[in-house]
Order: sequence, then structure tokens, then C-alpha cells
Amino acid sequence: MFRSYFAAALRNLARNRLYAGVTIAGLAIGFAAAMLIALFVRDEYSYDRFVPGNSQVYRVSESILNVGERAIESDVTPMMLAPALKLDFRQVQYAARLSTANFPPSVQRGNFSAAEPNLGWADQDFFRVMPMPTIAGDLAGSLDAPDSIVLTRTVARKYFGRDAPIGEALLVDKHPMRVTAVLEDLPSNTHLISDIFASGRSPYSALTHLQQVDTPLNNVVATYVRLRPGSSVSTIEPQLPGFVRRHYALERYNSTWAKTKIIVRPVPLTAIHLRPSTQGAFKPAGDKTVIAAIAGVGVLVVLVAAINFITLMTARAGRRAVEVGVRKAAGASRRDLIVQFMGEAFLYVVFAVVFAIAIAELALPAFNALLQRRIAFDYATDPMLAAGIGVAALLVAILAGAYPAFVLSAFRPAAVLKGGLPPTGGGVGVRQALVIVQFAVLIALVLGAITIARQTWYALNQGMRLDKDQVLFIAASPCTDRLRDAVLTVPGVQRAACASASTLLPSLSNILDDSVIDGRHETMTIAPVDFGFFEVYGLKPLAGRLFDRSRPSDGFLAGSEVNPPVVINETAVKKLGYTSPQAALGHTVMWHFHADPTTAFGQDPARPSQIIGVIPDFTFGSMRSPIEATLYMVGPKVSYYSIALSAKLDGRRIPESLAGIDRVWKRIEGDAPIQRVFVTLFTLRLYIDTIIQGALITIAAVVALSIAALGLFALSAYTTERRTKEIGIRKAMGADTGDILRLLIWQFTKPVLWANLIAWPVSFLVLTGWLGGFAYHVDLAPWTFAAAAGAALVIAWATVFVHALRVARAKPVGALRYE
Amino acid sequence: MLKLTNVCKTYRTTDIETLALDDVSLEIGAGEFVAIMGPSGCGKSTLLNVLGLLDSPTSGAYEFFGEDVAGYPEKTLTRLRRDKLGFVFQSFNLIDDLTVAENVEVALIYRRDAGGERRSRVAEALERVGIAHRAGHRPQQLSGGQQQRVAVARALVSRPKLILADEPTGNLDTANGEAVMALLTQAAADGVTVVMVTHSLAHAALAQRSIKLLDGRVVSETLLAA
Repeated sequence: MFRSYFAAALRNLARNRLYAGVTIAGLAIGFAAAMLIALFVRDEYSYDRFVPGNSQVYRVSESILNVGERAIESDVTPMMLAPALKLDFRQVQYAARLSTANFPPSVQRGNFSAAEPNLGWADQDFFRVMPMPTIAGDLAGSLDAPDSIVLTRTVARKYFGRDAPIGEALLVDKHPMRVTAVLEDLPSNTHLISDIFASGRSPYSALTHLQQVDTPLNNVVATYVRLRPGSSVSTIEPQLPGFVRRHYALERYNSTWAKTKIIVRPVPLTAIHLRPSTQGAFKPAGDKTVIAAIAGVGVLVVLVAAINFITLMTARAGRRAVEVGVRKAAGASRRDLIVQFMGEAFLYVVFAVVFAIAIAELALPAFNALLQRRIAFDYATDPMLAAGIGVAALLVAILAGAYPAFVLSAFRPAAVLKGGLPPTGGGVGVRQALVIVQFAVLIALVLGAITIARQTWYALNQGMRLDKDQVLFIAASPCTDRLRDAVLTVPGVQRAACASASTLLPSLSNILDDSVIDGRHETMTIAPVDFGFFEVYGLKPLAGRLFDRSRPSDGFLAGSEVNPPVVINETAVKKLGYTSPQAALGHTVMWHFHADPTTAFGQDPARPSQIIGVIPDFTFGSMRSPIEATLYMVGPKVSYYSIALSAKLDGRRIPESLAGIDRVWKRIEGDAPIQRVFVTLFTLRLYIDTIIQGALITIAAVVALSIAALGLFALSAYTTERRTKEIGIRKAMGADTGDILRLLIWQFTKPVLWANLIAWPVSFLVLTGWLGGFAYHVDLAPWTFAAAAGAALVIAWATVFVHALRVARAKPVGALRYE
Repeated sequence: MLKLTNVCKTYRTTDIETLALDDVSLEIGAGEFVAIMGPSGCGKSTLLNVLGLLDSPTSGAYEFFGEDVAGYPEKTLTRLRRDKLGFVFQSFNLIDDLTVAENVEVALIYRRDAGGERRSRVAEALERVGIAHRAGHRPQQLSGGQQQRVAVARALVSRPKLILADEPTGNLDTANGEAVMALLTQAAADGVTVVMVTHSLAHAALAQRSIKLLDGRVVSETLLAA
């Protein structure tokens, strides 16, 4: 019996190559896309699991709550936190800090040198907290010596051309360090970005520098702890509020900090990636909602493919009617036939899965390049993955096979054996509904892709409200007047000005202050800039004036009894309660400024300064956070108050200007490699995740579109064939080619129009929610809805047009033949 | 008004050439009721298709209401069908997805008649064939005789000059066959030319003239009634 079924199935497949091909191809492409999406989702949920014993490892983060302000979640903590935790809690076996330098150190071997932005300075217990796969050396003690350095395989090859240069020397900012261990390259699914780990015990290390200016208020390093085996974090957590009181003692500091509440929070290592985004994070965090949405898109793509399967199998049921009639007449029960057709569905799905695995393997390198990941597809050695694919395939076979089996097995033998097509009644309705669902999915995906693209474009362009065209960032620590003035002499450089980390990197660092104005306390961001900074970005004052280099009192003066004057932004005007920018001018604001970053801060007195101007809101940060109320001032040219030079170039002389800037750099800064990047490129990093989401959704939309187009092509071939008689009649009655074309095209237009009714409201809700995650965003434009509907219509028309035209032009006599 | 002169029609498949009409010449006058008879495969339906402009002769001339239609483009033939022709088929050929009234309306839609006008003529035609009470039903809900009456209504509704009926009673029982024949006879009496293919001698006897075909040739013509 099964042999007969199998033979019928295979021959049916072979005889109907077009339909079978379309069905299998659609399923295969859909499965392949779903597999890649599933790999991505799994990758997002597998962060940092490569660390042995990861369940005992925590990163300790802080929540900082200022009265009346949003809580700041910070991944960076004070220097003192790690040693204090180790001292106070017996459960902590090891604690270690990791700091990536603000300014990338230069690493040199022989004549070869490079800036290494991902060099991390780590405590000696770092690899005891987080052991990692090692290819050479003894990792546990690898950071014990002050001159020790640990490389990844790629970095080892970059400097030494081999994997295990143990004991060899490298110069880090000219200080010799010795390689003690070489790690496997870190997987892409880790929150860490470092590929060089240097001993924090070095007298030149960032940790050593930071130790000198350590206060509980200075959030500068990532803190990791490993708990003793058998210890639970729940035994530590209740004691943390007391720990904060003892070690932070905020009442010692100025009014801002005295009112601040700090919560110390151990975050499981494997949970770091999927927390909401935090200040000082090494990598953009994953967003569970977005991951769920992407997983949903994967399911939708498979749904579209499964719908193809169902529509094509049922639409063509008539062709199998005689077979069903004969089998039933020969005594087959309905159950027998259901088993047969389910078996066939399974056969199709098995073919599709085999092709899908091949497609996924071929596409994986490109997919990894897009996501900047190293995701593996080891179905042969990964039983979970193989089982997952198997279960998913079985599920699709059952769900997609059930309905066609039900329809086909229901034919009455007497009716089908008399000849002619069996009644199609209910099947048509279901098929129409499925085609509508397919189009609804398509329209929703197209809308999603358009909206993500629009928001990304907006965020990268108008959203920041800066004219960043042809502006170059040059990292400098610190950015000095000398460097600025030298760069200004380069031909083609139109303007140049330094700025602070809190101006240029608001997502990584900002300086909050309790400012007093007209007797009211408000939390403000202090953002040091340089003379001429606003002018570089084309910002014009809304009221008052900008900083004027010819007035020395506009700038920071060491030892002065007053703070330098400030320019505030529109948000600050509103927060301070002034009715207009004009009204804010001339008022005096009291604020604290920690002028010398080489000393510990927190004890500076509040000093008065004057509001001299108001500028429009702008940001170098992400559109996800609102622009803060900000006081801009001309700061001292030291460390992070002056971290980079912005230089506006003449668009026609860029190569010449860049060469000139490089020469100036060499003259002033010597051998240190120059770090320069155009601002437009620099800001891209804020939206890499959004761009990747957009690309994923776009790819999914294109895949779903091609699958649906394939299915529609076959379905239209079939239905036009089925309507041949009707078309013959209509032509006999005098319908011309145009009439028939309109008739057939309308048949496939209706489902698209219905699909909009489903897709529009659903997309509206989902996309409104997504855009709600941005403080500044585009609105859902009506034209995007029309465009998505239009795209679906064009696809529908394009796929049916060929068949429709062929049938519409045929002579009616063929259609009406009945003898 | 219908004049075939030396019309031949061959069908070619990959290896066989079939001569479906072999040098057929005949003339049919306005308002005439002609029956075409002959065994299966003798070319009756081909002749009807040629007469109805659904198929074109391989050679020979066809004068359709004074126009030589040989070599006319499909567009013109479509227009002529739309304005002058009505069809009744043995297998009814009603569109399953449309109601009875909509099926009848199909014959008017492509003439771009106004909607109100169309509806009143459809109602009138359904009245005439005695099926007005089933106007909202689907074809499958009707008996064969009822379906064929709908088909006749569809042929009549456009007030054609020529009705071509291909074994209109072939799938019907005697009573229903008589009813359909009565409708066609009445149409002829009203001045419409009717050409009917039939196997039934009794029904052929209702025509004014009977033409017998064999192997694609006209073998006899019989004038029956005045």
C-alpha cells in the first residue's frame, strides 16, 4: 500500500514539475530564511555562554537616581567597587576590573604600529573571573606580572605572524610588555569587545591612572565578580544597600550627590546582552522585543511558504480527483487517503528542508558579514539544532499537509468518476483567505522595512540637527589649542574646534550637575566645548550670542571665583521655566565644575556664571534618548573635557586637507597614529543595530515577496486554466482581450485590497510601538501605507499578467470544446 | 445573409491533418431556421464555430451579414459577435460563480449597455423563458432544463440577428427539450436567424431546412416547412 502511495506521490511530483518545483522552492527559500533568523535569535540568547562556569559570574552595575530625573543605568562603576566587594563578601571568590582607554593606545612591534581601540586594561584576577579558551600560555596567572599582556589569536598573528609568541615583547604607548598567553578569538556573541588584555598593574595602565582620581562618584571601569562554587547571589543582594551606605557615603559630597540614590546590582554574565541599553556599554544591547519581532518575521516567512503549499495542493486537487475516486472505489477509507496525502506533504517538506540547509549554508557567510557576527551552522554536530530543524519541518508538514489531505480525501468517488472537475466550493474560500493572509504579511513586511529605513535615515540626518557634512573628528587626548590652531592653517580646513566627551559621546559619559538658578534646583548636563564649536556644525543662536574668542572672560580661567558663562539649549530654557530663549538671557546660574580631572572630584564649590546665549537642541547621541537640558561652556583643554577636534573641510579639497592634517598631526603628536573619522560615519555606530534590523526585515520581506510571487504565479496559472470555460463563454458573448484581462487581474487584485485591511492596522500598532522607543522619530506617513499596498499590487499584477494575457488572447473555440 | 463559399477547415496535430470541413458552400437567409445534422465527428460543431466567428476557415470565403469576414482581426470579430450573435450550447456553459441573472447579463456587459437598461432586459429575457423566479440562484442549484433555459435567455437578451445552438437539447429530457425548442422556434418566428446542430429528427423537423453533413461535406439539404 505504501509503495503505491509513494509511487503515486513521486510520479505526481515528477509529472507536475512546475507546481512541485514552485512548492518546494518556496518552502526551501522560506525554511532557509527561517533557519538563518533562528540562528540569529539563538545567537542573541547565547551571549557570554562561552565562559566556563558562567552561572557564577556577574558584572556589577549601578543605577543612579537623581530626584525627579530618569534613573541612569550604568555599566561602569567606581574603581573601589571591585576590591570592596571582595573584602566585604566572603561569597566573592574573585573580583576584577576592566577598562578600555578613552583614547586608543598605540601598539608597536619593530617598525609596525597601530592604534588599538579595543585594548582593555584588566586586573590580575580578570581571567580567574572569566576563563576563556586559550591556545598558548597559562591564562590564570597571565596578568600577574605588571608588564604582562594577553592577545587573541588574530592580534598575535597581526604583530608576530604566528599563534604563540609567548615571552615576546610589544610596545604599548612605548612601554614594553611581554606576551603571557594567547586566547582563541572571542566569539561574536560576547558583550566584550577587547582583543588585547593588558595588566592593570602596569604603572602606565588606565587602571593605575584612574586609581589616583578614584572617588565613589567616578564611574570609569567595568566590575566583574565570580562567586565561590555553591554561593548564591541572593545571599549578597540584601546586604548591598548597607554596602552602598558604607562605601559610597554620598552625604560627604555636594548637594547633587547628597540627594542621589545609588543601587548596586549584580547582573548575571549571560544576561548582560539583553538588558535595556545602559551607559558605558561596550556593545549596543540586544532588545528582546526586537528579537521577538525578528523571530516573528521568520515565522511569517515560513507561513507564507506554507500557504503556497496549501493553495497549490488544493487548487490542483481536481487533477488528483480520479485517483482519489479509483482508490475509494477500490476500498480505501478516508483515513487511508489522509495518510497518503499527509505522507506526500512530508515528502515535499523533506525535499524542501534539504534544499533549505544548502541555501542557508551558502548564505551564512554573507549573513554573518551583514550582522558582524560569527554564527556557526553546525547541524551535524549540534543535536539541538538538528532536532529543532526536524521538529519545525514536521510541524510545517502536519499543519500545511492537513488541510489539503482533508480536502482531497473528501471527494465522492461517484461524482469525480463521472468526469469533469469536482466541486470546489469551500476550498475556494479558504484559498482566497490564505492568499489574503499572504499579501497581508507582505504588506506588513514592506511597511516595516520602509519605516525602519525612514527612521534610520531621519536619525542619521535631520534628527541630530547638526550640519555634519564634511566634518572630521580627530581623536586627541587632550585636544589642545595648539593642535586646533595648527589644523586651522591646513588648506581646505574652514573651521575647527575641540569638544568634551560629554558633548560628543553623551551615551558613554555625561556630567550631571545640580544647578541653582533663581533659587530653584535643576539637574543639568554640563558640556564643555571650545570657541567656535557651534559654528563648525552650523548652529546659530536663538537668542543672545555664542562664545567669542576675542573675549577671554568667555573661556575657562583656572583659579577664577566665577564659572565661565554658559550657552544653554532649548530644553534647558523650558526646564528652567523661561517663556522664551530671550527671557533666559542674563540670568545667573550656580553650578559645580571639577576643573582638574587629575584630582578626585565631588568637593568643588558651586560658582555663579551667566547665561549669554541659547542654541537649538542638538545631539551627537542616539535618537533613543531625549536631548538633555544642557549648559555649554568653554572648558579647560585637559583629558576628557577636550577629547576630539572637529574640523569642517571644504568638500572640493578633501584629499589635500586630509594629507595636510596628517602632516600637522605628525609634527605635533609625533609617532602616535592619527585617529580620524568623518562624523557621518562615526554617528552610524549609534544605529548599527537599527540598520541590521532594517536589513533583516528587508531581506525577509524580499524573501517573502519572492515566495509569494512564486506561489501566485503558479496559482494564477492554475486558476486561469480553471476559468478557461468561463473565459470561452465570455468571449463568445463578445468580450475582448481587454475585458478578459481586466477580469483576471481584478480576481488577483481583490485579495490585495482585502490584505490591506489586515496589514494596515496591525502594522500601525507594531510600528507605532517601535517608533515609540525613539525620543525623536518620524511619523508614520500615509504614503508609506499606499506604497506598500502599491508594491503588493504590482507584484500581484506582474505575476498574473503573463497567464492572463495568454488566456485572454486565446481563441474561444478551444475553451468551449466539450465533446 | 450568411454565405459560405468553398469553405475548408483543417486541424493539424503533430502528425495527423484532419479535414473537418471539406469544400462547404451554403447560404442561409435572414429569419431562417436551419437544422444541421450528421453523425459524431462529421464537422457539425466546426461548421457552427465558423458560422459563429469563433473559428476561422482555413480556406474559402465567409460572408457574414454582407461582410466578407475572412482575414478580419480578432477585435472586429469580437465586435461582430457582441452585436449580432447569440449562442446556446449542449452543455449549457453557464458560469458557476455567477447567479442566473448575472449569467444572462454577461451577454450585455460587453456591449457597454447602461446598467438600468441591462437589468430590465435581463428581467424580460428571464420572464420570456419562464425562469424569472430563479434569478438569484446559482447554476448548480437548477435542473438541466432550467439551466438550458437560462442559456437561451442569455442568447436572446442581446437581441441578436443570429442564434447558433449546438445540440441545445442533447442533455435534456423530452419535456425540457420541447420547451427549449419552443423558445428557439419562437425566436425564429420573431425574425432571428437560428442555426441549430441536433441529433434529434423530431427537433430537426421543427426547422425550415435541414442540412446533412458527412465527413465534413454537405451531403443533402431538405426543405421541410414553408
